[in-house]
Amino acid sequence: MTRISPRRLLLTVAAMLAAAAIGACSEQLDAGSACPSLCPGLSVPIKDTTFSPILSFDTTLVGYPSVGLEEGIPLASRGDTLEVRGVLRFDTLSATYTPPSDSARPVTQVDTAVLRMRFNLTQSRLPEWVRFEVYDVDTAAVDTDVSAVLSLFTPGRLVASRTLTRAEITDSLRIPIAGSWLLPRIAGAKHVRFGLRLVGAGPVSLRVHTVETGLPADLRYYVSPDTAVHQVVAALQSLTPLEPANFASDFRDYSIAVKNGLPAAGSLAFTAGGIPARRAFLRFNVPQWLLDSTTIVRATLQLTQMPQRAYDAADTVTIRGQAVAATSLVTDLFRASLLLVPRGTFVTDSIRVAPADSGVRTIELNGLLRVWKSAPDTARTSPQRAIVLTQDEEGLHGAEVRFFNAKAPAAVRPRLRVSYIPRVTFGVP
Amino acid sequence: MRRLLITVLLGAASAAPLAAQGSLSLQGFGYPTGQLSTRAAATAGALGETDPGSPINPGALPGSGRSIFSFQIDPEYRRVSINDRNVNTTTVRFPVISVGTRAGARGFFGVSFSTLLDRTWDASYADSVIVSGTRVGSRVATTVRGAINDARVAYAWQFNERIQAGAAFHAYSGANRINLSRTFDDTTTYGALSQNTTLSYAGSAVSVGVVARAVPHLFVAASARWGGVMRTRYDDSLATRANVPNRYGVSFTYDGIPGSTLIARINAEQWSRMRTLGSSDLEVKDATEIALGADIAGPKLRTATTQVRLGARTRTLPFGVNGKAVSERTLAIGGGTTFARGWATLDVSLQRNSRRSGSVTETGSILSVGLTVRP
Repeated sequence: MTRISPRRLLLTVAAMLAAAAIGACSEQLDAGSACPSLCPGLSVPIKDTTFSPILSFDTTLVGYPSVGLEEGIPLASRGDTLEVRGVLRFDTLSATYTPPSDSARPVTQVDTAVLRMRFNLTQSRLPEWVRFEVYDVDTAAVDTDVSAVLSLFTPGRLVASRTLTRAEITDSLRIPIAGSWLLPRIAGAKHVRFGLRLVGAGPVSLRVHTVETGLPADLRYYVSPDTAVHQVVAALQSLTPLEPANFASDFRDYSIAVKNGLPAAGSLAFTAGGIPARRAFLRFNVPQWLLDSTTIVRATLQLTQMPQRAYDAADTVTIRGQAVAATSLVTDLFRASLLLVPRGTFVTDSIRVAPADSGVRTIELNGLLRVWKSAPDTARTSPQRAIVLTQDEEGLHGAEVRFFNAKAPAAVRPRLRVSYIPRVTFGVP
Repeated sequence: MRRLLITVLLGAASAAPLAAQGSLSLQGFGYPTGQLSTRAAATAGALGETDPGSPINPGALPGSGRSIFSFQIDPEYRRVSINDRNVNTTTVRFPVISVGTRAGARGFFGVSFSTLLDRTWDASYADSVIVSGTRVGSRVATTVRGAINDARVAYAWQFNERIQAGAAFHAYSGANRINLSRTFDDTTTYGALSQNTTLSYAGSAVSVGVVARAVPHLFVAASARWGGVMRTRYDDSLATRANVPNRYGVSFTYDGIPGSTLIARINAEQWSRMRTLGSSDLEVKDATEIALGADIAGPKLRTATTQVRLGARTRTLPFGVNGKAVSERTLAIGGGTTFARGWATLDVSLQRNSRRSGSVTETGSILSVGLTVRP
């Protein structure tokens, strides 16, 4: 039997494989330039529909930011519309001091004491003159008893004040505190808690920096005429409440809204912003078929703004939608409204409006619906299908933006406009 | 036989058919490769009825001799001209692999795997659509991979030196794996579409064929295939049902010139039997092809004999576009030489296809390199 030369056969096969490899490497498959003329069937229908009602529940929650999270104290005194005061706590002033190369001694004198604050003058309203009043608001009442604190803003408890013209107001302020007032509190290891009130020739408001902004107030004084003994710089500190332990630090500095003259939004609106700030909690009832059987191209929440023409009505503010990260296990809405996905995640746009505006505002929810699609609503670990509307500079700006809610007439209630691609039987020529 | 099997597996492993789209030839369920070996392709398909390496006529199998193994590589270089634009694509196919061996003194058994319709292409292009009342820029991309393949088991019998006949069973299978995506220029507002689907095929057919010497120097070969039911499944759900196309072919071969043969072939394929396999928009047309070819003895290279082959063919492709049929004209040239003392043959062919549908033209050059071993 004649045998094939293995070498020649191998060479031939190798040549063929090489030809295949060269052909495959240089393959150019994309002929898209000839499309769509020669690519019938590539177009897929994009359907457009609007769901209304789309909210299964909506409400307005108030009290943001929580105590201890303020990005400033928005001191304000605007007549009948808005009044906000602040509290600064110095609960740990030391009753002793230690001169250089000496032992500790008790504090027996206090000299040149000043309360130093720094301001953020953004969006401040400053009349011809402004008076800063500092009150002694130390009380044995529970820390959350705001009315007990407010009742201490009386002339008899006025510790110090300073009046400045508009031109004299810069980004920091020192208010002298009488040593005779401060010394017994230091010596007696008592709490020093200042209440701040702003008074002006007209409506006035400005923001005092807080611990959270990195520029907190401090209390400075000398305890000895000896120049070798440094000035005491006392930081904000709170010793109460005792439980839970971490709450005490939240009360180092905080604001109290004394008066907010905004008329109530009514039963047909939810709101965001204002002082104290409000958040709108919107829970969605998205049809399951939409999530399961389609590819969502665009999803736009359409809100109709209800004009609000009280104070700050012409100031433009930013309203953002934030996805709720809380699962259905969190039934407390206020807690759920604090457990949010970071801003810009899943809901990437915002609304820039003035409270007095009206009309339809939109928030894109496409990314969020895709998240909801991948997280079944029935799973206990899935986030609630809800968003919260918040205002930038929450709790610092009096502007409050209102939108018609799900109980409003159909023409103005929230709607969800969705563009989607149904599951297509693509590929059958 | 073991060696053959290993070689077949190697060939099959490399048989990843790839092709392109946005073309005239890849409409519908794909391009009909003709199931031609390199040798038959060099005559533009004229040799298809008598070539044992082409899984067309089971009656031609005994022409293989003792046994046969063949496989080939067919890269195609394609240019589509549309609206003064030219689009160049390159694809590689492995359209036919066949194995056969003599069974007894007069019987012959063969198995082959070939591509009936190749549907592998990519297409991506910029497009804009209206979403929520706004026109938005986007990019559409489609990828389709796969084919309808023909696995044939055939048996042939050589009655005498003048007549041989055979019958075969065909199993059609395969799948198209399809990805469709649309990404928008503005990715923050608009979500992208990406959908994967698999369209799979299953069907069967039987075929018979005969090769006979009617008069001295004139051979007649004829074959027919009757298709059974063909089904498509769309992501594991039964989608459509139709029939495998019937095929009828006949060829006449004259070998009165020493060392050369002249062939004429006519072949009719009833592609319209597949109509309900696709959507209502599918344009399916029955196709008749006519091919003329010559297989001429070439010069001897040392001890090796060579063949030179020529051919021409005209046919209609089964799937039209935009309401118009796609016609194809083919000129082919090729050759082959034996080596290893005549036990192996290396064939090469080049087909130049000109396709037209309305004002759209397409040219495709298919280079085919085939190896046939007759151990």
